[in-house]
Amino acid sequence: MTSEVARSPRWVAPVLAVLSVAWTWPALPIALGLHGEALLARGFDGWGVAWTLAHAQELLVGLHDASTGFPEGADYHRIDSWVALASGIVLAPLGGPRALAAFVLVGVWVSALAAEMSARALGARAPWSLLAAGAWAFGGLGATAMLEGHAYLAINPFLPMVAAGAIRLRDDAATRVFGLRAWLVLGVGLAGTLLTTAYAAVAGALVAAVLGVAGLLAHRGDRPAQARLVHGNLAALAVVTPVAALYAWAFVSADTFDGRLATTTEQALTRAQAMSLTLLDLLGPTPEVDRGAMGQAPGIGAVVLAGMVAAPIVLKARPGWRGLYAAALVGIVLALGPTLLLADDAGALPLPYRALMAIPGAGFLRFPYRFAWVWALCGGLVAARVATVLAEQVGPRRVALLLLLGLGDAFLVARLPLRARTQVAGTPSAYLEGAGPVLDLYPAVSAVDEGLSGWMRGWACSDALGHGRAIADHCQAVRDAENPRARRDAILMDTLLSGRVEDARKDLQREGFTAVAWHPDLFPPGEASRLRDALAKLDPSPARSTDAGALVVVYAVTR
Amino acid sequence: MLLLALVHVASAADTRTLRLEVVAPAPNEELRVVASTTWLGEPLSVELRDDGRSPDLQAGDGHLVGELQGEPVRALALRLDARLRDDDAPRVTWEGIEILHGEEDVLTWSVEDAPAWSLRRVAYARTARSAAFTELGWGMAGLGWLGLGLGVMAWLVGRGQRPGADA
Repeated sequence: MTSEVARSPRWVAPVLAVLSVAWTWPALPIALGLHGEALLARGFDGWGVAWTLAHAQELLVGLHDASTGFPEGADYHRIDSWVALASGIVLAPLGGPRALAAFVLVGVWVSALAAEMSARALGARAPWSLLAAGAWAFGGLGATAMLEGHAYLAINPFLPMVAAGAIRLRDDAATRVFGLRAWLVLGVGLAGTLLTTAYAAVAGALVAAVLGVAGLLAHRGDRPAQARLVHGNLAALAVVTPVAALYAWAFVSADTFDGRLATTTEQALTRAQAMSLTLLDLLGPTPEVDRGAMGQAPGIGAVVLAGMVAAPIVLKARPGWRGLYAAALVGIVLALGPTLLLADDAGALPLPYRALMAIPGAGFLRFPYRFAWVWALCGGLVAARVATVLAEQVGPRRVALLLLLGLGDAFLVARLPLRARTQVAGTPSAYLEGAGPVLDLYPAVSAVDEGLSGWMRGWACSDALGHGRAIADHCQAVRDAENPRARRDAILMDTLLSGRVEDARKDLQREGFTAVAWHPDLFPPGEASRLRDALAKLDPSPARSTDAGALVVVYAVTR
Repeated sequence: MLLLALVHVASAADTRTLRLEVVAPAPNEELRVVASTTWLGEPLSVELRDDGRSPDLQAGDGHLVGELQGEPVRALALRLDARLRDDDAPRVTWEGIEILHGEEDVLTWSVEDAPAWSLRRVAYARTARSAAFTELGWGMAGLGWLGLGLGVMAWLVGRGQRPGADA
């Protein structure tokens, strides 16, 4: 059953590099510093990732940062992505926005290469293996991750490694050769998914489990082969265990309470439903989805769907595809969330995710749509294999139509780079006219507009990269309730607006702040006027700047 | 690619134009909308017009248009004061903070009749019904694309199943 993995032609890597540059545009000019100061993201999360990349060296020392969450400092044990943190060691010198652009560009290319290699492990040949690369790295989910700013989700060569390792392990188990490379690839892949994000890890575990069971079924009646398969999987687990232990230690060591965790199953279901795919989302993003729903409508992918439909007919008794097929189906069903919905209206058909949410701790899995990654990867691998077999049957010229469809999925359905957006980056110069910890004063936002909290936190953290002064924001917090700066702002505003300016000054000085950086343009005019009068008593000659896309007035509190 | 590069580099220019559009379900000569904001410390306001003069494209089509200009900015706190009839007093009909992107310089609202009249931020410069059809159109296009993929695959599989194909 074991077959050599077809070698990849030399043109594959350059072609994927060109596609990566085009698809992530303008990542290249931003990374090279040719685009001015700009952040490549539509959503606020891009600021946090850019900050993580640029601040990685400081964060790696104890995962506690004294320059944020001032004066207590901020705990980052529950950091979103360890891969982003590690990448920051290399990318930090570029600065946040450029580092993010480079991270996206290189990451998409590496992910595409990994998926292409994984397709060849399944028996696909170039150029048909590119279909898997396209579905994985240039698909709708990759676009969503890039647009909403969760760049590290789009940069995942590890899940393809899990699939490739599991596939080769099953093949190797048929021989007397203990698949050293296979279990190592599987183990490193699983560890990598864990370090990418918790969702990637759950997706990786799902792929490994389904392919493992499929492998055992494929070796029915061959106990030695089944034993070798089990041993290989155990060896892979041995690779993951130290990483999992480190991850678990970091997670439980965090001193921040995760207020996002739902307290009841009903709450968890409601939240999960909001982050699930509807049937309309499977058709691709619309402008309204981009405006109001963070672009979370990835599309199912014409190539993947066609490959999945054709696989039982084309691949028939050929080995190695059924496990991927099953994993892809499980992935897309989970991505639909607790209830099947046509659009955003009420639905009636309960789905397996509902049962999953009843498991203690499953409340953390608030984004079911991310399980569509499993569909994109495993379905793409199946489609690449189908295309390879079809090319042998009807000739490569006809099957080349599938490559055109793959390009359409990437550039017409996911619609990058057309949907890409940038934001003005840089540091307002008013911050630079002083030294010492600064408290950013932004308006309070309602629970309805809680996304605005993420933007304000992102700007404060990004500005801090440039001015180097300690700030009160926690740069990984999303909601005001989790962000110490928002709490301090509420107290400061209350004190100032009630006329107790000297009390405000004493409070700020006691905590160690030397200045307040006010962002007046974002306040309602009436409130802004009252605050301006109160802050003028704090410092009658504040520093003021309008560069870097923001009016910032910095009041010294030590005068 | 070169064209895209030029577009993006151009968008990094020093002056940004923000186009504001309000779309009524039917043309209404008495509808008045004034948008106001503070742009990098400068109070700005503009009356959105449906008189066919630039930046409006066509008089009396129910699309009120106005523009604001300034240096690149991260976000604006916008307020829209509006009235439906001449004898109404203008009232704050919409206010909020809009995040601005270099390439996205159009913000649109639709006039909603029910339960009380209001302005709703939307993605399209179209009436609510027309916008719904546009969204449906996107969905149909997506469905058509998937159908095309399935059609191509069916054709390939059909040819592969013919006698003489190299199975």
